[in-house]
Amino acid sequence: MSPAKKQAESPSLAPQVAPWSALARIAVSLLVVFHLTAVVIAPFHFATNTRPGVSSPASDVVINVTKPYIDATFLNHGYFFFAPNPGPSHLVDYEVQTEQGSVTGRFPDRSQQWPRLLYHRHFMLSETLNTNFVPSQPPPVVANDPEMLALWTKDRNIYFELRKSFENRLKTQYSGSSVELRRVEHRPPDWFEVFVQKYSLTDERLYQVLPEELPIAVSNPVQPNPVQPNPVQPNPVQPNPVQPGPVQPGPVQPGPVQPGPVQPGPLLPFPERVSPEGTGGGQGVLRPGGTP
Amino acid sequence: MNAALTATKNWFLQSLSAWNRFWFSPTAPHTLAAIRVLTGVMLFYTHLVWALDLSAFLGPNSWISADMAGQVTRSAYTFSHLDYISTPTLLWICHIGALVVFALFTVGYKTRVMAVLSWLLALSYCHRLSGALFGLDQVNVMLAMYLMLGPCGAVFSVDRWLEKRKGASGISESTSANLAIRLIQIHLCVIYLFGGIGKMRGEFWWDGSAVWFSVANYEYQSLDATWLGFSPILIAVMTHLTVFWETFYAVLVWPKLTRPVVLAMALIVHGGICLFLGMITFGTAMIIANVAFVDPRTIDGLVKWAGSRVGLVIGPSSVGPSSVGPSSVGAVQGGGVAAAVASVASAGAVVTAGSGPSDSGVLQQPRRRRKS
Repeated sequence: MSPAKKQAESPSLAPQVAPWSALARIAVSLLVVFHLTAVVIAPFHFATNTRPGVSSPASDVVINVTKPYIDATFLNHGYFFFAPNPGPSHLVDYEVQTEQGSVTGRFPDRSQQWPRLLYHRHFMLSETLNTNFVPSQPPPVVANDPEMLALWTKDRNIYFELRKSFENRLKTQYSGSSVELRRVEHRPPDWFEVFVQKYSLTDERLYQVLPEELPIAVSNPVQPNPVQPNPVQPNPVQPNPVQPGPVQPGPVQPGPVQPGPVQPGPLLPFPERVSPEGTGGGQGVLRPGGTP
Repeated sequence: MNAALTATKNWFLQSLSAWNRFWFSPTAPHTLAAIRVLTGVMLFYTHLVWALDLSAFLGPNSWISADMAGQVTRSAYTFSHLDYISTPTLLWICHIGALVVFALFTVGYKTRVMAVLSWLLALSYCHRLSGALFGLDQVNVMLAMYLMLGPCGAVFSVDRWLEKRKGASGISESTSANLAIRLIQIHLCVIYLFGGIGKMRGEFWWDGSAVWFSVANYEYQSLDATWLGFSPILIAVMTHLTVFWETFYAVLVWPKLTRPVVLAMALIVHGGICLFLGMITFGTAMIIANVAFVDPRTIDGLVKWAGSRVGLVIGPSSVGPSSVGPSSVGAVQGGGVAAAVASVASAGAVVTAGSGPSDSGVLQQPRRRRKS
């Protein structure tokens, strides 16, 4: 029994205030219904984003009505904490050219950022840069669709500006003249690697510098990375749920193989392009659910 | 046919009554006030940490510039006063002002005003700081939003202490307190439900390895818990329990029988996040949100117990048993800051005397009066 019900039924806990009028209750009820609709529809819409740019038409209708309220009140979250899978972390390596030479570093860095919350803010920054990554060249399936190309261009520009904003910050911090950034992925080792192969969590083999230009593979974009069945399997590869939200570049596009100048190179090597939900960054936006 | 119509009508009336009871039954404000104190501390600390590197996050050449923040959120419906601050001095003045608001909100001074300001400020910071946010900020803003709807300063507050000095007696139950608590409860259920649904889309949450990959993530790790790997079965059990608990929280938290179990799980899971996954603040914020499911009488009892512990530490002259009651006002007035703090802590015990929701002896008096 809920406390309110309990109180309502207990004579000793009878309310000492006048009950709200029927009109007030009706008005508040309508507001409550609207608000809770917004509370539910934001993560629901996020959950229905099973492919880039694709969501349930039913949720589209409601989200279009409630979006101003949802965005204004910071309700635009998916709440996909550590979902759909706990994924790799993304870091940023930087090299700043100054008059005294070059300064190199990486963030987040526990030794530099303290307390833990400040470290976590830097962690979210590096995740945000990675989440917003869009390579400069669209895949053919996007290039041939004006609408998708426009979205692509917009996202690419956001990534470009975001990267530039990071560079400006580092230039200011170190009084540098130029900055080079590198996105780095750090995957957690699996059970086998830790207990049999004796990897440490910071083993250098777990780090990978991510290229700014991805080799594009369209042969079967949703199955390049086999899902690891259990923790005793060596070399886990993260699964590849599709990133929801604005249209994302080629690797996650479903559909037939595109003819033409498609490079036959390796399949998508970097799961972060298609599994950003499992990593952090960008909270406050519907596209990534992210870690807490 | 008539029977069907009658049954439908009865169902409709019962639903209406249930809705009315759920949202509009007045309740004691102790739970809401406790959440206010804890959320205020979280808001204050969260924004204090921004101050450690204020220019890097909010200055002219911040990590994510004001213009970029708007683009990252991809929304035209956000606003932040911080977008219009261009000088470091003004930025610092505004930031210190925000910290003062959060501090006043925490101690409960001019609480209704501070509650609204706290929500607006927390919201404004979140809109400006896109890209550096995570679950902590979501929960902070959520709680601040609902706290301003109810009388969250009715107890455990400087406001209450000042009212008592003016001779105020017991406090009233409040419909808006219930409304605010209900909204927190429902919102929390939504968070857990979609957290569970999201996990159900992931293979690692089904093959039992998700907890391993969480504790083996170096960037999140605060305490090494990879020793859990000595028992893959334990890891798998923890993984599956997490998914089922999160998914069914929205159902199981309501019945009296299962609520303690569900809340205990919340404490364990979020406590684990605090200890091992490096997110002390986020784990704490989620635990604070779960307080919404704690009965006001339990809060009252806990605060009284804590007040008595504080009394033992700072001296019986200020908050001994004799201070629990209207007569304590005089003692507090002469007791200085320590007595005032203790009085605020024990205010719940005092003010609930007239409001009823407590199992304590103090609260049995009005019951006897009513019976007689």
